[in-house]
Amino acid sequence: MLTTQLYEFMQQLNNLKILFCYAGPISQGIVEELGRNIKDQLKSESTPNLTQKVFSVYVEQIQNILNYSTQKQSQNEDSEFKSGITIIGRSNSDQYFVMAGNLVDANQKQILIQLLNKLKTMTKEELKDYFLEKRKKDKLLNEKQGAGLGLIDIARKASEPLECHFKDIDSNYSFFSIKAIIKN
Amino acid sequence: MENLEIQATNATPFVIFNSKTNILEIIGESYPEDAALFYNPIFTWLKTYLSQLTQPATLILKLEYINTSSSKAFMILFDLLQESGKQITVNWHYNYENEMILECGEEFKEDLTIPFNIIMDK
Repeated sequence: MLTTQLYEFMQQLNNLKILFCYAGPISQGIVEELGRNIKDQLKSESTPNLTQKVFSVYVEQIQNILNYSTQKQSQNEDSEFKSGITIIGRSNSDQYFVMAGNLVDANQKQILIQLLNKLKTMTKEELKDYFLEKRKKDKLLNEKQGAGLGLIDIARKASEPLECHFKDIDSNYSFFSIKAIIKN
Repeated sequence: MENLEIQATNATPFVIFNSKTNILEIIGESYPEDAALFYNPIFTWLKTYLSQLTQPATLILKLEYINTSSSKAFMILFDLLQESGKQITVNWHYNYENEMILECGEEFKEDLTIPFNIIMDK
């Protein structure tokens, strides 16, 4: 990247209404540090409820990347698998969007498509029942199965159905993108 | 039995379980990378404590935020209390501006039969 491109890049982020953008390797430390900044910023410009909702959707999205990467680490040391992108934007005074993206394998993609299609058809009340039922089911804490609960929770907090996209990279891997719109 | 005390971090709450006064408190935020790593030792302590408990006990929760895997952990914790058959009351506190924690408490209450009070803090 050239120094002459930086201003343009920043303008692009502004045009897309992006407040925070992090792309790269993700650790719990980054989750906390970025989270603290997001909270401080939102506290100063919106309501406590909206701040909490945006923060919690951000945590669920970024921890899904983190947990997925951890799971992959032992099989594949490729650093790309521990990476992802997370974005918080403000579309207008009382509406934010929270996005995340990371690589998934073909198996993960199928599981995600199934779950996301199911969530799309559900009302808020159905999402609540599904969340409570799933939370009750397993008697053990297993982080590796956590992605399901997180996505249901994101769908519950979003004010519109979740937007998702898979960009196929090769026969095994796709880049998964998710967007949640959060209103007061 | 020794008390259980765990200092808070950015993403884990302060835990103080007092086996003499039978007051068990969890205060703060909970969104660790690995909820099992944080909560399993708490469950282990609780199982021993509950097996010896003869007096009424109170669990006081003053939470600001919990992620979904911590919420799963709390479900397991409440189940332990409920299944023990001991006299245990849960006091779920929430800050008056924290609608998410209020709702979260209401949803736990719906799922449980042990006494579960939801208390607003100013």
